[in-house]
Amino acid sequence: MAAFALSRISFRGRAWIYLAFVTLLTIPVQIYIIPLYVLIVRAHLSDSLLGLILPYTAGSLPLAIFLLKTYFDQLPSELMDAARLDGCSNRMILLKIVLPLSRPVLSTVTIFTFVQSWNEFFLALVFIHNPDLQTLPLGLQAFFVNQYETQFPQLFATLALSIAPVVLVYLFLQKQFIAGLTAGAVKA
Amino acid sequence: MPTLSSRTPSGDAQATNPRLSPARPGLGFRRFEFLVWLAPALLLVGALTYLPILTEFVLSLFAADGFSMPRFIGFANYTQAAGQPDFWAALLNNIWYAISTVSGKLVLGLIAALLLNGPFRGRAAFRALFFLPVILSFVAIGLLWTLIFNYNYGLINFLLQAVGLADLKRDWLGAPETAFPAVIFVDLWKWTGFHVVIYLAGLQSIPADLYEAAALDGASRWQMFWRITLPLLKPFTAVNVVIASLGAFSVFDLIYVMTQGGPFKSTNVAMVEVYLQAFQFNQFGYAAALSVIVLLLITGLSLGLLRILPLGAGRTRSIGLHVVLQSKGTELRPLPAPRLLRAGDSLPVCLDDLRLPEKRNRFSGQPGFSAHHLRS
Repeated sequence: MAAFALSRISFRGRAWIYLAFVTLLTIPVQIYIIPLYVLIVRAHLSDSLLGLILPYTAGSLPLAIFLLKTYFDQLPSELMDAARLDGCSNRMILLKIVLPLSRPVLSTVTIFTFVQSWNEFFLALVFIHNPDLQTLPLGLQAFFVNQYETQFPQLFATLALSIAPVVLVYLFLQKQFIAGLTAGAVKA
Repeated sequence: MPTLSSRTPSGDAQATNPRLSPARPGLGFRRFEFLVWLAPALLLVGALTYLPILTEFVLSLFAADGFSMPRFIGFANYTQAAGQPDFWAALLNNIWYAISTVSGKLVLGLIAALLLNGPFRGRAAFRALFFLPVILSFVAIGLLWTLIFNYNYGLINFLLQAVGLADLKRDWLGAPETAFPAVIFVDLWKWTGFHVVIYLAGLQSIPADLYEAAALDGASRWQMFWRITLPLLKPFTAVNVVIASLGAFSVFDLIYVMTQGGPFKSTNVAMVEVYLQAFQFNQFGYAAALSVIVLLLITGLSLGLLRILPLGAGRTRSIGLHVVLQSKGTELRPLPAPRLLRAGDSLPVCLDDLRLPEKRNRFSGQPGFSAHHLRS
């Protein structure tokens, strides 16, 4: 949504807001972990999955906005002008024109965000203490620290299981990208 | 529902400049519509990213342990940091880490990209394999390599034993001299594939006729590499440098999983130090001050790099995007044109930008005519 606005609706300060998002690409979450932790604890969100989901979403937004905006900018604006002449609102333009044309970039954003959240370790390490809520990297590390040197088969099985979904998604979406592109190629 | 007639004039006005979005700020809802679109993203990022970054500066001026009321102590946290050799040693490690990983990734990435660019059987499979470690988590990779480096059961010592080099067996992660190189090696192993992909995109952006022309002129392959490939890859090298060096200053997972900063702090890096101070010793204010120092360092570094390297921020990023798409098997879209000729541009600028043949200038016979004339 934000990317669409930044790309296709003009307003004052647009460049600044975009810059504000994109600048965050250079600042890793580790830098502001302490105040974020305080914030999450104050909001009673520590030790809850929501307390991870929200920061993960916020953390992956800059890249998503950057990728989507760059892609939207390249879509032929004639399509949208035509739709507007036919009386489409911005919402309908986004739903009926922009999104269907954006499958390749949407897959890109999906795979990136998925892999990031799946592998994320640091926030989970700081926020989650309840073993029932541990994410995989956390559990993996705990398992390893507690019993390596004794149970190699189990450890390797866990390792293999933990990377299997990412590998599958990677292989699967690789094809999706090509299919998405040939289907969505525009001749305007 | 707006009528057609109210739409048409604005549509006509847009036709002259298609980049301008048709939804111009008008009155009422239309004028603030963008806020509705932006609100969710702005709220999330504002509350969970910008707010913490700002509070960090404030927090770094307080003595805070996370339980009792924070107490204002001015710059005491910073003076404490200044007199704390552990932190500076960690930061120095970061710098070594950055130098070795960045140079390693550039050289290895370029070599691998050159090899993977040539036609041979199974090229796609090789490329996919190279990229695979990039999508795995540092935790899984760190654990795997910890096992490989293990003294008793590790693959490396096993192989050394097998080929009769038992003298070289050692506790790779347990000794300060080998632990740091070992960690750097694993980082290289994981991320080189990413930089390969960027370089591959770069290699494919170089037009083949340049090499043909060079071959006609009798250039050797070595000369082609130094005179054509390397200079034209510059923007891609720049992207690689920026991404790799920012990564080197924020590294945490790998170190935490493999060595926890040890042995004897030999692999300690800034982020591990911040984590320990904050979440083991509950020194929130002090750790915040350390974070602020690193934040300023990273900001300075990225601004500095963007200034030195042959690219502006926007362009660096957009190349990054093309690379991302490319790596997923999507066609590479052309990079944004350098700068289009606009009506009203005076000719000297145009000549510079487009390198028009001199002939043209002579024929026109007009010294300073505008881009307008060129188009007609």
